[in-house]
Amino acid sequence: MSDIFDILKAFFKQSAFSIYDAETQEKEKLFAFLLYGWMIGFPLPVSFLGIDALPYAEKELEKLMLIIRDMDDMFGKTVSTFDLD
Amino acid sequence: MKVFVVGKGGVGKSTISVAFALILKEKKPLLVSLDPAHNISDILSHAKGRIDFDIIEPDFEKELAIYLKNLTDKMKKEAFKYLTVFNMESLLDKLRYSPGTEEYMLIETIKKYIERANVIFDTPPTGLFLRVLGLLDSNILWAKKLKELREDILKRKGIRHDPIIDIINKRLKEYTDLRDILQKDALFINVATDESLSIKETERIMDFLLNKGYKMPFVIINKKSKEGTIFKGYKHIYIPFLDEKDPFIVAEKTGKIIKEAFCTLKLVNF
Repeated sequence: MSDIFDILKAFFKQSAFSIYDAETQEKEKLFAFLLYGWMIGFPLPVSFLGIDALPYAEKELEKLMLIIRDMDDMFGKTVSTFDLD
Repeated sequence: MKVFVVGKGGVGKSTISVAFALILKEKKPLLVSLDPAHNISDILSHAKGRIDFDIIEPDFEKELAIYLKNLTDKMKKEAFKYLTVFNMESLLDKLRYSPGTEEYMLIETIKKYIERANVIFDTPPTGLFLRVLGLLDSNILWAKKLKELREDILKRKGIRHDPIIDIINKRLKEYTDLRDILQKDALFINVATDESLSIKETERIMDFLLNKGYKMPFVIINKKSKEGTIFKGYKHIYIPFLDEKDPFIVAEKTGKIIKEAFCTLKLVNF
């Protein structure tokens, strides 16, 4: 009986971690989007905060590339986040 | 004293800015032209050695070009591999003409000189200048929200040092300090002429300034004719129409009238 609980515990723990991780990644993408959305064609005002941060924003621009890639398949992205087959 | 001379185009903002510089000349004031169509030097070209104050007429295009060049160089130094992927150099070049750039450069110029004890800013026409004040507010709000989001991300990832949050914090402090100075210490002189459209616009500017928490807006009705409108709105003084060809003499006479009126009304101690 305790084995079942351990398995369930491990399952939910892993699931909680992956959701937390996915959430963090989404927040990172949102941050990149808010700063640099104007670069990929969104009608956002140019943020000079973003311009100042450009020399240190390599990772944010990588995230921006992910936004462009995922935009074609938002459904697939959601399914993969929650590990659904 | 920090003075901002605001108003519609052609009402005499530059003349009144020079007038204020002349009133404050004992205190070594700095006169900064924020209007891209600089008029100050045209007025002072008639002064012939009678100027006792410093004047700055920034070349905004040149300053933006320097800013963008420094940025591009810094990015190249940091070995930015995405520079080519995003065609970043051309994107940055397009910034020169993008909405918000002119307002940003104006904020940077105000920030640069606002700490001077006695400074007078001759502002661009109302539409642009109110956008500058609006941008300052939205930048503060924007930076606060970005700060919250970034701090959350850093906490989640256990990162302690981050150059981007340092930049956000630095900018947030600069913008908040600037707004505090403008709201508490700046005297906004709203110039209008004696005609209904100008008066209406003046009322709108005054409402905007008071709503945004700028404490010291004041109205000067310039070039008043004898039969003209009597302005019944906010605190104001009148400057009569001065029949002079030399714009520097007009500024000198205007300065004397302003000084006298302000002393009588006990508005400002020059």
